[in-house]
This record gives sequence, structure tokens and C-alpha cells, in this order.
Amino acid sequence: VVNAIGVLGLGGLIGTVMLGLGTTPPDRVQGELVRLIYIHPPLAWTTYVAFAVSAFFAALFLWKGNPKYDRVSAASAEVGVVFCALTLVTGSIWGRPTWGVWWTWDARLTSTALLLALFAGYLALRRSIVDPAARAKRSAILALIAVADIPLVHFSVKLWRTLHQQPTLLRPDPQIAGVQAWTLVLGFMSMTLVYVWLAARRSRLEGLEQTAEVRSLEAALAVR
Amino acid sequence: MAYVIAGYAVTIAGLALYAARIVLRTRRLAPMPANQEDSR
Repeated sequence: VVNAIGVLGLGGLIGTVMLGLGTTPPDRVQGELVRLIYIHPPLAWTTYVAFAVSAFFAALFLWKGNPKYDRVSAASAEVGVVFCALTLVTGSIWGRPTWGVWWTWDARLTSTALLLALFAGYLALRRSIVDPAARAKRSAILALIAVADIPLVHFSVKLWRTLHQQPTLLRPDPQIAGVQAWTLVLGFMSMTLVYVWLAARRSRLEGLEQTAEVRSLEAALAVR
Repeated sequence: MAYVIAGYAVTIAGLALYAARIVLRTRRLAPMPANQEDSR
């Protein structure tokens, strides 16, 4: 099932690239730069999903104490960091020709950078604690704190006067239609499927890493 | 159009490299069949 999701995600991503770079027309105002809309918002959406899933499984871990939930939470957080970094990079690439700068301390950009820093901190915290039980508990608490930044990121364009544009699709009167809308929807769906595949694979790897960690610790103790 | 191509290239390369890292590390850590234990 996981591999089928991966193949679907990859196929969707190829379709998004072909439609985004080829079939869809340039925009009247943004020209060719509008083509970045087919990957940048889907990357941002997937960042939200990844960190929300991480926090959900962190809460489940704190409630039930099952280490499997901790592994899923950690895996989803790491995948989310990758998506969040790509969101910032693609946004920056769009911002340079549109706003004239690679970066500005706009509310949306700053709150997204804070989100990346919080979950990068989560990953750093996991690496800094040796005891698996303490690591799982403390990182779960941090995930629950860090996820509170997501509503701030999403509503920042409404709460403050920002350079960043308002939502395009997720509003009562979507500002996009036709092949452009469908390409954007395909982008959202395929990025989500790619996330599911990456998170599932990373979760399995997390289990293997934890097993290897226990084995190496036992080997070190046996030598002493 | 150069900015657009750069955006797509960074995204695809980033995701592909991360996926490759996961797959390769999983292969390195995954338990091998018993008859291959010695060659590892």
C-alpha cells in the first residue's frame, strides 16, 4: 500500500510539473511566475499536515505511552522540516522577481521561519537526549508547543498587513479557475501523497535506528 | 522563467535527495536474510 501511494504521488508530481510548466497559461499580472503557485502552496499545505500529524502522535504518545506513536511523530516532524524548508526556498525564489528581495520580515514569512526553527529545534532535542523514554516525552511536549505556530502562520495574512498574498483556493470565492485550478489541486494531492510515502518510510527507518541504537548500547555495555 | 525553473528544480531535487537518503539508510539498517549475515 505504501509503495502504491508513493507511485501515485510521484505520478501526480510529474503531472503537476508537466501541467505547471507546459499546459497552464501565464498570468496577466504575474506572467510566468504564476507557475510557482502549483508547487509553493502545496509544499506549505504539506508542511501543515506533517507538523499537525507529528503533534497528534505526540499527544497520543503522552496519553498511551506506546513508542510506536513517538516514532511516527518524529518521522512526520523530520519530513515536515524538509517541506517547510522547501516552502521557504520556493517562496524566496518567487519573492525576488516579484517583491525585489529574497527575504523580508513579513508576518507570513517570519512565522513560517519560526515554524521551521521550532521543528528543527525538535529534531535537535531528539538528538541531544540519550534516554529513549525521556527523549520521547520531552520531544512530544515540544511538538505540542511548536504546532501552535501553524494557525499563526495560516492566519498571519489576515491578522497583519502583509506583503504576502491572501489565500487563492481556500476561500468562499476561489481566485483561480479552469486548468490552473485543477493543476493546483493536483499539486496539493500529489504533495500530500508524497508526504504520506516519505513519512511511512521514515517511520520504519526510525524504528530500525532505535533498534540499532539499543544494540550498540548493549554491545558497549558487554565490552565493559 | 529562470526563477520558475529554479523553483521546480529545487523542489524536485530536495524531495528526491531526501527520499534517497531514507531508502539508502533503511537498506543499510534493515536486517538481512540469515545466509547473508556473514558477508555484511
